[in-house]
Amino acid sequence: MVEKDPLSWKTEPSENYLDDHFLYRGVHKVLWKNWPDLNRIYPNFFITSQAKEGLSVDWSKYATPLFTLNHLPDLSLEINGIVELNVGNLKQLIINANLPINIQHDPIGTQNKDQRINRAHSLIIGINKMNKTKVKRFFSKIAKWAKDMAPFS
Amino acid sequence: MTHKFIDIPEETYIRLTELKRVNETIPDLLTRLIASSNDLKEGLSEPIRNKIIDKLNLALKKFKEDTINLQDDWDGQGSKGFSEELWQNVIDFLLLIYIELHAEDLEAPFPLVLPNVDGSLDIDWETESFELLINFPPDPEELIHMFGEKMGSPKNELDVRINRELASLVVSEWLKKIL
Repeated sequence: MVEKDPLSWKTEPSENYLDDHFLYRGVHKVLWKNWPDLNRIYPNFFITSQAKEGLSVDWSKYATPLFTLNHLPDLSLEINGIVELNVGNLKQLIINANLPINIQHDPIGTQNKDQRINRAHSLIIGINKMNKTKVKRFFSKIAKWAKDMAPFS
Repeated sequence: MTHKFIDIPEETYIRLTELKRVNETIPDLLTRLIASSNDLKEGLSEPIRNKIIDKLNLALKKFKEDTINLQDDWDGQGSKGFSEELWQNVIDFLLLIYIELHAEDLEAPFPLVLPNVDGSLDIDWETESFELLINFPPDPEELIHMFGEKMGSPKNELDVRINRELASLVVSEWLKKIL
């Protein structure tokens, strides 16, 4: 997964996201510390203040859950956990609930103070003011902790 | 569209249809909800009101201690903090709902309150019979978005964005209908 020249990375089409792929996302302790059951996922991790154009996730084609954890400001599982969305389940949900949502590859080829180089970086686009609460509810039903990445409570 | 000086998004009118009584228009529905709420607020005894507030504060005590007054950037990625004012607004919002339920002799468990990185709070009921998620933004001018489902009854879906002044009335009317 180490790339020699990030500037040569191409943005891949959404059909490259296969049903057995996953999308990973870090969840900070403040979000989960009052969840009554840490074996499941609650709706409040599906929102972002950083990427207004979509929900930032890492694509399993170029990332592992550990990769995602290592890209967070705090690498401890006492502070962050990693949640995964299965792409097949996500596609099914989009169809069943008729959601205007898509996955968009958004590789980050240059580093700055806000972001690190990341070929896996992707955006779930189409979440807006009109549907965000419904989407959060639906996403929470298909999300799971990535293997060995549930936070230590 | 305006009702009693409250701007109501056009799409909200359509989505409130499920809450109407027979032959009731949406303005009729809103007028009824506002009148009923005002009557209840004025008629409710102070001890009952305080009892509901105490129960709410007790149920949500740990959340408040852990979350409210967190400063911006608590996750190191640009998150927003949560103010005492926002917390009080959420308590007031829930109080109105539970006053309405109390008046109808209905009970609903207290919800979870969950923080979001954008500084809003989610109010989340997940029970065996219904689910209701309300996103409560810090800006009082922003619309409140709610999504509710009664299990096994798709016609009772609630998917509404509405002003803060009316949101608690819509929620309590929906709960009265499905409980």
